[in-house]
Amino acid sequence: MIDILNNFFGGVASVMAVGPIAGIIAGVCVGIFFGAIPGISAIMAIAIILPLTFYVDPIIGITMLLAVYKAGIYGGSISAILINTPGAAASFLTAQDGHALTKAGKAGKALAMALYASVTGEALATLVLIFVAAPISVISLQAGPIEKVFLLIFAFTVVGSMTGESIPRGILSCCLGMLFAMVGMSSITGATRFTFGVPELMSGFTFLPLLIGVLVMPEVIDAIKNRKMPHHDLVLSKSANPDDNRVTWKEYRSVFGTLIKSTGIGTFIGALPGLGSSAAAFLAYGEAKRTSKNPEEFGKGSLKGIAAAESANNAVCGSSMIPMLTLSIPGDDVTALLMGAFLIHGITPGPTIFYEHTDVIYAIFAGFLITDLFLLIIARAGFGFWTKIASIQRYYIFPCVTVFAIAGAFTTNQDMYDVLILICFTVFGYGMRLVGLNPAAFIIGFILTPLLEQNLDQAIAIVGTDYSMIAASPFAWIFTALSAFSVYSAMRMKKKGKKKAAATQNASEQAA
Amino acid sequence: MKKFAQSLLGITAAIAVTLTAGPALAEYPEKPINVIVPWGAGGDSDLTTRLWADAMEGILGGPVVVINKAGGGGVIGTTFVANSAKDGYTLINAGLSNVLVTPNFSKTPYDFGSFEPVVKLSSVPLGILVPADSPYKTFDDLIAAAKAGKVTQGSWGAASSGTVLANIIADQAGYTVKFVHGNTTAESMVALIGGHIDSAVSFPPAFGPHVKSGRARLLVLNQKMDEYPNVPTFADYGIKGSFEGWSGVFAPKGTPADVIQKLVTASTQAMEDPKVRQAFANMGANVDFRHGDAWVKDMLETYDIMKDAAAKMKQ
Amino acid sequence: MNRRKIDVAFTSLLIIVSLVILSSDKLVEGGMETDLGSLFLPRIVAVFIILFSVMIGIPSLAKLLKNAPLGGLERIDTTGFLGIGIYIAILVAYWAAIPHVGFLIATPIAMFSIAVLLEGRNWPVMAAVSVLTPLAVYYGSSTFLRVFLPTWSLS
Repeated sequence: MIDILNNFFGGVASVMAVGPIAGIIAGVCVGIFFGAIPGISAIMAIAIILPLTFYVDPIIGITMLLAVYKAGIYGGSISAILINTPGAAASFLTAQDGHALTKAGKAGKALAMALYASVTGEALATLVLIFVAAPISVISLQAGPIEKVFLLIFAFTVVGSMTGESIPRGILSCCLGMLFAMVGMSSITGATRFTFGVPELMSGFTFLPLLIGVLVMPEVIDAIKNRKMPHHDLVLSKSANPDDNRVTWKEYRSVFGTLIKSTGIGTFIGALPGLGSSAAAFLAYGEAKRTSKNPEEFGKGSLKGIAAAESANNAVCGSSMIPMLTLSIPGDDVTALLMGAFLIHGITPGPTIFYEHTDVIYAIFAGFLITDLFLLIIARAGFGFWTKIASIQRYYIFPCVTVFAIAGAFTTNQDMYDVLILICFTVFGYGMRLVGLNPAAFIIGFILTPLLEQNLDQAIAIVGTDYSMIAASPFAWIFTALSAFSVYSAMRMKKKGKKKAAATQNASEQAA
Repeated sequence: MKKFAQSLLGITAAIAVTLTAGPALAEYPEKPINVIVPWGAGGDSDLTTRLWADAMEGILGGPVVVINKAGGGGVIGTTFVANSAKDGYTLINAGLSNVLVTPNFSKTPYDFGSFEPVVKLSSVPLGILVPADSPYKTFDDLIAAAKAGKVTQGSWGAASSGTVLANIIADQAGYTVKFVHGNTTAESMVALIGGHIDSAVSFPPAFGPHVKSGRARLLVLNQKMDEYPNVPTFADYGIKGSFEGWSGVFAPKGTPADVIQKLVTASTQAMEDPKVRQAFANMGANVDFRHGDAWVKDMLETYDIMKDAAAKMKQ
Repeated sequence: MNRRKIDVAFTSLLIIVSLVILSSDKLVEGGMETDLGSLFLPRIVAVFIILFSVMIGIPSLAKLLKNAPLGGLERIDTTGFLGIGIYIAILVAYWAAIPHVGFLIATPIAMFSIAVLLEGRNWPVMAAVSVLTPLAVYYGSSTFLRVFLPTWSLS
């Protein structure tokens, strides 16, 4: 422990130089900027910057890449909160609660909550990475395909807590997402499914255009539908009460429990290779909603909702580095790129990295924490500017959002076919809104299905005819129990909600 | 008069060239060159291509842009390049899997013949690994166990290069294994060191760190490597054939020969750069720079082996 | 608009699609056999879709037949639907135009039309935004993202 602290302070000393600090500041600015534009993902920003870091000092290069990543994930919440255009699946939840606050004139509060939650989640996960990476990585190795199947089944049950108007509609949305995810060539068998001979369908539906189409564009369509409504009816001016545009200490304390729990969930999910930040955000949000005293507030401007989604989402950034650094296992495409950056500099991630490259690795760790600090300062400084975006006339904003969405869809593969996917899913996403299907559940189904299928295939191959192996893992039991509990509490919550609604209806009828 | 007509023709041609930025003439490259990587960002072929592209940019003096067009087991990006303009501005990161294996196993709209091979950049030898605490100390132990009962082997996709090569090896040595298909080489290494599978096939960029840290044991390798002096090769066990993954650059069929020649010359210069070679070595990939007819002939031989293997496996 | 009719229509459509997935083997081409099989998960999902489609469709159908009064969520407000149609038409036209006239020419026209559709009447500012944004996006993405948006071509 003392060693770690010594190394860590050594790291702080070496990162406190002009080069690394400049890199971090540049990375944070680039990340916030790209993250805030709906349609550009963090992975793209990193892939673009990667060649710049090939031949510079790894301390500068890698901290800069990570600064882009972290700031990019926070940046996504800015446009989600202000104009309800979430650029990533995880920001969808932030958009629900954050945009409700914006509509109530409390954009500043929502932005501040998202920022504090992001930074808290990241910083805590980074501390976990620095001090307890090794033991966590050993546990995460225990999770093989069989265990992951159970974990994924548990992840699917969070759909129950965000079904919107009715449970069947929520689950149906999720099933539709699963079905769409299975179009195209299967990476397991090489077989093409549901392509009907159309070669373009072989790659399946590209994720980013689908996501923008389902999550971002319906907001533009809503604006068009309500175009006759006068502007000032839609946008409430900034609330006069200064407390409405910041997070008070009391509020921060009231969500602190949620922050810790969500960071825990995010750290755990991040440490398991391959599950990703969206699953973490949805699980944390579902958990916060389940344990909340007033779950009906979620989706209507709950600070706890923002705190849960953002802290879990950002905790994944820190903890996904755990398997990458200690076991040289990249969990997702971002960590794969970062691992590439390490390898190109001749630093091989793995347990020996802590002995062979002590200086570099601890300098990078210190860089991670300093990135959080700069993110806090730089993002905070921009609040005044960003909140103005929410009050710009919609006939300036939404043409721009349309173009960003289309350019963003094009950039993923540089293919006009993806723009067509975007348009199709815009119509589809708006149709889902009309009939009460839930876009979040749809996206969960779409994201988790390939993981589920892959792990199920591996699990079946491993189990073979020896069925006792399924029951042998404690993980399996834990997650089965959690799934059952989650389904049960989702149903109970629905019943309670109905009773409450009925009670209020009765009351209003009596009053009338 | 004739002179005037000639110069007029020359001017018109020059204007036409600058306007359309079309077929490559002497000025190649006069617009960004796109290199499609048919895999996600961060894999070893992606990184080798990015290093190459970065070096090429300095030599050619114009942008060389790496685009990831992942999906469909590499088929999507490869098909895209097969169908794009034959002007040398759209190239593909080719490898064993997308140009030699997949056309034989899946229904692809392209084949090996749809491309003009440009250069081979690097190669990675295939190895077979077991977890450190495995009872199998040598490849013979593994063969014996696989002949006697169920041994699981990690690979990446049922129609992937890994599974096909592993099948050819198993076929020659006379054993069978139960394949567990991960998504990437890295994923099957996770399952291996977690003790969830008995063995795995993999390449040095993925297994190097694990062998180094002692969590996985390398039983056999395609060829002798300096890093693993005591590991026997497949040839030592009487298994014939070359089992290596490689990464190179192809252009669509019909790309002008002078454009290909320019790319080859620039690549030769790029791959001689010690900084680039060091970066390749750091990743665990051998610089295996080749171009020309002998290389194409070798690839065609491999193609036929894959064709036979596909016919056998599909039975 | 009565949402129950739409409910019945889309759930019946989904049930038919699921039945096709359950019964047809032609939806999968090529590939190798693994233990799971390419149609295992799609078929499970199809069963779920049938189940929940029935759970949504039957009550809606029953209420439709009984002519029960519409609840709050069951009435779809159709004001402004014409605008949505126009917006989608603009998007499709824009998509079709980009490969031929290029991003820099198609985008200002599309942006300006959408701004007009959104009841914008501040012509000079709208024109400025419609021209400057595409320029910024085009040069931004080519210099910073190294994505080269389509330019006009003669072919």
